Amino acid sequence: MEFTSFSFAIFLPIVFLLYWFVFNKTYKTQNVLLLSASIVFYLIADWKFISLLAASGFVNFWLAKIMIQKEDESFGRRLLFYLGIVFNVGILLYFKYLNFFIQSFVTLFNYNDAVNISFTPFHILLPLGISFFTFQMIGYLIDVYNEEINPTNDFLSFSTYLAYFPKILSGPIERVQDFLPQIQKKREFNYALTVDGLRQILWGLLKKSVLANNIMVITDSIFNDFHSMSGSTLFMGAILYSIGLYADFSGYSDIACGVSKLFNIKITNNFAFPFFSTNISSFWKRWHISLTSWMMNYVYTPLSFITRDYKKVGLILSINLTFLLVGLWHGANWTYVVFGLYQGLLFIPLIFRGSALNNNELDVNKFGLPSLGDFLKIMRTFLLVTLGMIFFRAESIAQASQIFLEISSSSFFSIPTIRPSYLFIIILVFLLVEWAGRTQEYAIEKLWLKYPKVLRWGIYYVIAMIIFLFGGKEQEFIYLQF
Amino acid sequence: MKLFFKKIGGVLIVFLVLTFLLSIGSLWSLRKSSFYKPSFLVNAVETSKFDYIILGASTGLTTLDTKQIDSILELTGINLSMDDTGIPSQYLMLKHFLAEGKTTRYCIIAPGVSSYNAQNEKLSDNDYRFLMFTNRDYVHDYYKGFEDTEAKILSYSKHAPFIGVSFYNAELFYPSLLTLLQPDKRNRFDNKGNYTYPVFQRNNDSIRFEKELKLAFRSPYLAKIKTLCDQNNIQLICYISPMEGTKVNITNSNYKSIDHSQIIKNKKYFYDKDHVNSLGRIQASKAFAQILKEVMTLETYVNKNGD
Repeated sequence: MEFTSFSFAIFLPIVFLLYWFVFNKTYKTQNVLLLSASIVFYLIADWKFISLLAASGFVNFWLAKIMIQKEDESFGRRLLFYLGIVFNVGILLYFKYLNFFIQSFVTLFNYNDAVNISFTPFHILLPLGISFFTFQMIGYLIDVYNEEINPTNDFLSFSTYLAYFPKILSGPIERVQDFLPQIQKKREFNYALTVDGLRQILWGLLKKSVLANNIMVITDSIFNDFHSMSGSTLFMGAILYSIGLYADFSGYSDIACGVSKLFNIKITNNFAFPFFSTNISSFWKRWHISLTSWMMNYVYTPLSFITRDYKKVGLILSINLTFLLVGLWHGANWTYVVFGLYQGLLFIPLIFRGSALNNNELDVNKFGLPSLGDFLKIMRTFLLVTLGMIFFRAESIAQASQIFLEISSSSFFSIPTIRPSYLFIIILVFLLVEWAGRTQEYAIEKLWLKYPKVLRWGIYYVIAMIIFLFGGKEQEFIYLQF
Repeated sequence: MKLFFKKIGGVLIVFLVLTFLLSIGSLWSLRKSSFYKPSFLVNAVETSKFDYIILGASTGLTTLDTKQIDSILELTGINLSMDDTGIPSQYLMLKHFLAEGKTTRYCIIAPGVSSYNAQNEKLSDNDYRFLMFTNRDYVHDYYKGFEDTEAKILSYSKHAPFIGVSFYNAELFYPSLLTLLQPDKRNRFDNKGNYTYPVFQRNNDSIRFEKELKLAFRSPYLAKIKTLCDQNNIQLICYISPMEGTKVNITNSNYKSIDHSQIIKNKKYFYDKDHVNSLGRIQASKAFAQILKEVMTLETYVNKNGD
């Protein structure tokens, strides 16, 4: 069941009504409903792996509880902690990376024809949301082990946190300390938050249905037939793909946050207008925020502590290893590894300038426009990100290399074969609205609140009509595959 | 909470009314235009008595040029073929043609060759082009006759047109905006319903016909077309268009047919394996005209002298 499906349009109002009218007595009854709804949601989306989700919740809940009863620094505590990590990473390795690693080893061994090993990949299905929920569980175990939080004794709330349907399939990767306190008290209906949630859903639907769905049709036609495309068309395709991917995933996140607000629960907003970043560091603080925060907390920080004596070299190593994992997190393909490494390499100039982790805020003039310098930096960052997206989109390194070769050939200067259409106008208007609302949680959060009611509602209806009349053919959210 | 539900109810009602009005407007604009073949037939074709009509898929659309055939035989014909359609769509088009009070002596069916044998027919990709006439019973009944989701969407659109217009927005809503400004605009076909594929440089190689396809005319919709033709005193002819390398073996003699699968023997006349280009169309139309003339002469002779 996807957020943009007809079945979800039936499912959500039913859960909403039950939540506020039938199960509204205590926080426990509210959680019972949310957990039940989440199970139904997951069963419809991927019934085969509901037991894996349940096992993950059960094992991590009890491991954390038993682990904390052991003495500090004791062998038993460490053993339980590492068992938990092995369990979670093991699930991920088995379902997501086993074939990839074996195939890579086989290729390596066969490289100089000294030995000849053949390997038929195992038929392993990828459970929906596995990268998201296992990372949540790993984060939980680490936080409990480091005594940053106490393990919860409330299995119902813990299970609700794990399986919560707005975030189970594609995140955000929520930290338990942000989520549990919200669901361990009775939620009251909040009119303003509910309306805000609906507004965010509307914006998310526009991003997904109108932008992502239409753009992906064009980019698929370009990249699926990349052999016969000119460099300029491939380059245009890469730019469109960047915008389409952003619209797809941030659209999903907006819908997830909006849906959650209907239940008076706030979850992490995964995007903060990344295309208006002036450098790559700023970009990654605004793109898939819950993943980068997770990597920052649980990978980069320990790594930079270990490599602190090596100064800039240590920093380069920590950042690149972190981004290697960010890349690999996306999927079992060398293209993602290169994508991650590429992002890490982009940090090196910043490290030498000493601004690798600085947050670059934009200064705008009285007309709300950035300075020419900042504008050029935004363009440069977007261009660098877009080139990286070629690895992200390509099916193999060889394919990505061919695309790069074509882009760097003389055909880059030919006229692209993409027909200008209404979509380009919609993209332009969309980017302008995003720019105008870039200081908010999502672009239209407060953008038109000062306008007279009639005008504001007129704009909302126009957005709804655009979704209705310009929405592309339904396509799966890209991040569902991760 | 009461306030919320009151407001959300109001918002939904306004939204539904707006989408309903927009959809109605969109379908009205298309119904009054010549953009798709069904409305082209209603608005732009004044002739009511035809000597022949061609109903087909992209093969019929691009192979038989009614302008050329008419000029050779001094007849009146029209090409009502639509790309990406099957025999069921041709059945619907024939019903639509007859419902407009038009008549014809010959009905030439020219679908993709596999469609002749298809027994489990599905809604064709371009059947939405009849949606602006969904209030007519034969169109609505046609949509209701299929099980797939798209057919249900089209069927429900009789009462809730926003469902179909929204689902097929690229195919219906944008053209409707265009036809508001240019009601005479046609969607890639000329004033006699023809379209042609361009000539790409292809090798001047002769074709070897190695693949054989048996045609038993099993399509239930073909039987329906025959019945409809018999009821309206129309001669049905099944046309098999030229193919690159495939010859046809007809195993059912209940249908009159013209097999032109092997009539073109050089690759330079083809656009792809199943479609001729504009050079091939000239050859195919000429050959078709000759056969049609023979069929008509024979019929005249039979009518005069009996069997």
